[in-house]
Amino acid sequence: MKPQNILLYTCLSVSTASLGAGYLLAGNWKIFFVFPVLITICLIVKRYDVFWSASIYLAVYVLLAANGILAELPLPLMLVTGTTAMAGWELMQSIQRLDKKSLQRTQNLLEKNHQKALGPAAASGLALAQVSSFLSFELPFIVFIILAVMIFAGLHYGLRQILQDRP
Amino acid sequence: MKMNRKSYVLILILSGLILSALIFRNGELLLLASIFLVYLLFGVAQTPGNISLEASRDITMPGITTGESVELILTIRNQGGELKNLCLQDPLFPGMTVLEGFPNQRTALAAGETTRLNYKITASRGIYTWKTMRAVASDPLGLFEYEMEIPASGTLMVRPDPPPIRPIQLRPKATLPTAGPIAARKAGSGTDFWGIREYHAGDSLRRINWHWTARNPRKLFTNEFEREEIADYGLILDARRLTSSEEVENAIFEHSVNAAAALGKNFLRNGNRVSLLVYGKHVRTAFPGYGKHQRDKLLRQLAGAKLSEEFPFTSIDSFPTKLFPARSFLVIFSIYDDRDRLTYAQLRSHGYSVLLISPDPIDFTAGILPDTKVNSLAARAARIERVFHFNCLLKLGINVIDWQVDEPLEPLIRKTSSWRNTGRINREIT
Repeated sequence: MKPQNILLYTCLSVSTASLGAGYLLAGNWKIFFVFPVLITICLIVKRYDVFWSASIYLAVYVLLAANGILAELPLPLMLVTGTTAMAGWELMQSIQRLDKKSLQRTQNLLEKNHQKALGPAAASGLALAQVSSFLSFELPFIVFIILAVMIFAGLHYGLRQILQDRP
Repeated sequence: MKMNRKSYVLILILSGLILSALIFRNGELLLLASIFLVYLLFGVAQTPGNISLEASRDITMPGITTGESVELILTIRNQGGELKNLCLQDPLFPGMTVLEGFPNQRTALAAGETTRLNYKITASRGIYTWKTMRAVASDPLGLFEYEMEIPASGTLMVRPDPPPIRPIQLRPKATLPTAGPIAARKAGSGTDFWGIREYHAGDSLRRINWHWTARNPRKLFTNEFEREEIADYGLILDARRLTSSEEVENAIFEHSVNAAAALGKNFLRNGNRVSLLVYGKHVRTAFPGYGKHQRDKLLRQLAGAKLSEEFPFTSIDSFPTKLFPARSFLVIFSIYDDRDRLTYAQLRSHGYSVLLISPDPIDFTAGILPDTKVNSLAARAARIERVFHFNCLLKLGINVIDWQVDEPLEPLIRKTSSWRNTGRINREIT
């Protein structure tokens, strides 16, 4: 089995295990009915488009993780779920992109480049979220809104600016 | 640089989480959102900055015939910075089939590095011109893409490859004064007996007709033979869309092109002079010529022949007259439209011998349509009309071959060129 596939199955297993463990700790065992349904839907959609199959998987896991956070399930487990689901989503598409059209050497190079980018991105995201979870700010709601608007505006203008500067 | 559906999904999830955090007044949801935010920022940070690619296209054989394969090699050189995720795509035209390799490839290119994209194809008849190839450069995570067209020009010509046919001799009214295979209706050096005349000094003794000489004392008589010369042939390929059924007409047109190529090659192989006119919106011509060079010219023009919207074929004046020397033999490939009858009459009045080879669109269409009583009656009515039009042409002195494209053309031409069948249509209505 290729390293990309091993990584993918690891991410899928970890995300499912952490989500399941979080819900199970709260006594919500009905979560285990979600997985077979989700797998079936993903497999059906995968026949048409791998991207949308992976995106459904990611959306459902993020939704369940967000719901878990709101239900005050263990936060580290939900953050791990989010991170590994995102990595799994990325790997599913990457494996599909790296079909047999390229030479083995090129495939290895692309895999290496991809892993080099994905590893730090996922790890730093998770680390930032975990570290931030230890901080405890009591912010007024209006400040919270201002912060959210600033994030949106920053994202919008920042991305636009960066993408314009590039060719 | 632009965002793709992947980055849109990420931004949607990110926005959803931030909005949920606001709605539920829960800061921990922002922590979940931060994972996606960091991921997105990593993508932005790694977008390629300096993109400069150069490509060249190499076609192993720029001119092939249908059924032959050709290898295309594209060499792409990275003149800019490192590209960690590059997708190269060479556009394929309709009618092309890839036999080996791939016309698209994902790769990574270091600065100054070169990569090659090679694949083997076959193609249907036509002239294919590439101007560019497509490249999409993106960050290693594939979130932001930059699409570009890299100049990589090249032309591939796929000539028709008709099956060879045995020599066909259509007899024009006039021949050219060069020895060839066509009986010239004149006395001279040939093999077919032409007549007897009185002996002239210098005649070969081997040609003296001793029987006739014996009957006429004190006189000598010489056998004469029919002179054999080459002739002028003009091929006219009608490339106008005359019916509403594009599919039928395209299929029939391919048969016409192949027939024109086969006859052109045949006439040239026998030493005749041949010219070509592809008559449509874009007129393609090959002026009269002989030999292999002319054959290549004809096939080149036929390779680029395309059906186009109707072009009025109303007057002889619209013909480039230099194409067809006076009294030459014109072979016209057309499904026939009765509006052209005047043109045919004018061609005859200008002294051309004309043979119309008309691929039958009615039988072809009837084969596609459901087998109902109405359809069969409609097909029969259309056939009657067609035969009526052809009878009108016969009265003008034009030979007509009503050609069902699934049957070989060669026997039909032979049958029509024989004197017994002059003035008849090769098919009857059933």
